[in-house]
Amino acid sequence: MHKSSWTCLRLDRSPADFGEALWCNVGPFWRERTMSVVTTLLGDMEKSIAWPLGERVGIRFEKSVSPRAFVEKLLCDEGFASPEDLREVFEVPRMPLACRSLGDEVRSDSFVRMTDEPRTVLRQALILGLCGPHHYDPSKAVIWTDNRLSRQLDLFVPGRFYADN
Amino acid sequence: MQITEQHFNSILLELIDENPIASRGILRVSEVEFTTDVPTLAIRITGKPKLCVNLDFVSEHCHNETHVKSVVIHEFLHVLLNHTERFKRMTPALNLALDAVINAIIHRTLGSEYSDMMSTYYGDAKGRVRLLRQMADGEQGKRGADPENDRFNEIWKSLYEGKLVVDDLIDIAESIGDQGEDDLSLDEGTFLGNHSPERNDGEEISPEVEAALRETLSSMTGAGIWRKPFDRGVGLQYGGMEVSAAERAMHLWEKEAVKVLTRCVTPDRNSIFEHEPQPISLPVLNEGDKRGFLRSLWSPFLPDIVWNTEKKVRRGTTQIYLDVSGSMNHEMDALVSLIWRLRRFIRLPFWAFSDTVEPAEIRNGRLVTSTTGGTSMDAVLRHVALTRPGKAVVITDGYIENCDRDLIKAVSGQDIRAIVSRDGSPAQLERAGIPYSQLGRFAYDQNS
Repeated sequence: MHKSSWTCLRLDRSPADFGEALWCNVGPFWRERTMSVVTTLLGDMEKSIAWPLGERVGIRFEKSVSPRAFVEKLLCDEGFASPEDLREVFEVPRMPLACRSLGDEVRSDSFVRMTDEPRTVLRQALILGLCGPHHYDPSKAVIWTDNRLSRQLDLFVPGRFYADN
Repeated sequence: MQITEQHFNSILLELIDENPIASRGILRVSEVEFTTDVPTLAIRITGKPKLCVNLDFVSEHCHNETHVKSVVIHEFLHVLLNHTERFKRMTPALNLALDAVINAIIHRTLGSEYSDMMSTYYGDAKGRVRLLRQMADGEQGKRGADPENDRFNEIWKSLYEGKLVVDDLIDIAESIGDQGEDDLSLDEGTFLGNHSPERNDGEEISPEVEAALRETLSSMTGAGIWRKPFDRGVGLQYGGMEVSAAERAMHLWEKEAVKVLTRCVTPDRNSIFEHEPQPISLPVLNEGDKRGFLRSLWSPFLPDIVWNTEKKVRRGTTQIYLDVSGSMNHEMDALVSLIWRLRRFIRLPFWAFSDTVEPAEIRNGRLVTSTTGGTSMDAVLRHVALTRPGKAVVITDGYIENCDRDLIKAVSGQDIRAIVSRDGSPAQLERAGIPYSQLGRFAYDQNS
């Protein structure tokens, strides 16, 4: 019988080799080349569903300095008892934001330097202390560690996931 | 690295936020105590969970914040594995094997940044203690020169490549322990973590820790830790361990309960037949399966067309009413699974009663229904009078409100029986003239 003869498929051949009759049964043909698809919702405003960049944060410290020790001294010098007190002084984003860590290729002049105005540094330190591994969350406690304070991050405003038709 | 209490707390908070190896549960409930009573760090899980930290040790041996996180994670894994593996007695070889497995897990899952702590701390270790850190470049030496050394190197390499995991702990301990226990200690210093010589079975872990471990085990994949994670309760299978602990007692209870249930839910020879739909697949077209018909127009394969036919089955006549007022919660799941075995004699859906009768269904092995909290037998009698199933079984603890005499008369032609839990009271049922059977003591109550 003509139809049953198709049940003996040799899988080492491309479906294209079997002719048009089989195309409908196997779906799209597999590609024989590898391609990387790289795209992001973050910051690319040409996309209709882009998540806009809210703020870029980061402090450039000298290598010999412990970021936490430096910022804690600055806090003390400015007359604050705890990092939590900074919330009353500085305006910080009020909603949770998505964090993306930046590599060293980003120009260093786009960040605050440790020698800048102390209050500018402290505001950055406050925001960095509220950034977890992936999110900035203003409702969390401020955590100052060397690791957190030495990060350079872009913060994005979460938007939509689905584009309009 | 000089470290203050405040700095340590900040690192711990960051670690909780990052949640590596689902450690958040245990670390969040543990109160931090800075003490010199412990040589390194230790998590106490009896009573109020506590993370005991020797800050002098941390300051001396941790060179950066990741090192601190690494020793905390080491402690967390001690708690997790001690709990899941349930070691009866700790020998020096098993102790070393456990530490080696933990350090290898840290290396594989969190990377060399974390395992750098162990590489530094155990950098000068000799002999079999070297298992506690990753193998350094060139340390393997030439193969074939010393078969004993080759065997050890093979274990060492396999451990850090993930070929040997927690499941192989006993084998690793035996392999490294068969050459005596002389060099199973450090020349200087102490091993990282808590190393009590034996498990104290008298000490029960606190419910808080129990819940935290359950959270950990249900939220982690277990990959890289166990070969077959599901054996260790990962992914909500955690209850299995408790069941096995009371296995024998549970088996006896089940046997007794099945006997009682079967007595009440016997097949009824007078029950009527009904036709149950049954789909079958034939290579013959029909007008019902339009999709199959269309497919046959273009597909070169023989079409699989669905034909809907019917099968004659004997209808279950027994209607089951479950008391979901809350007093039987602990044995209800076990009862439901037993009833499910006898489902071909039972009319579905089940019914659950509190102050009202509501349909109950089993989803993912759990009984899903709604309850108002009370226990009214009148609601059941009214439902039986209305539906007239012929046979009804009420599973209850017997703490029910007085039955309405008129309703009892209204269901006089129906065969109604009750199954009462061991701690229940059948007095009300007796007064209402409803025959009952009482279950045995539930397995988890055996020791109470």
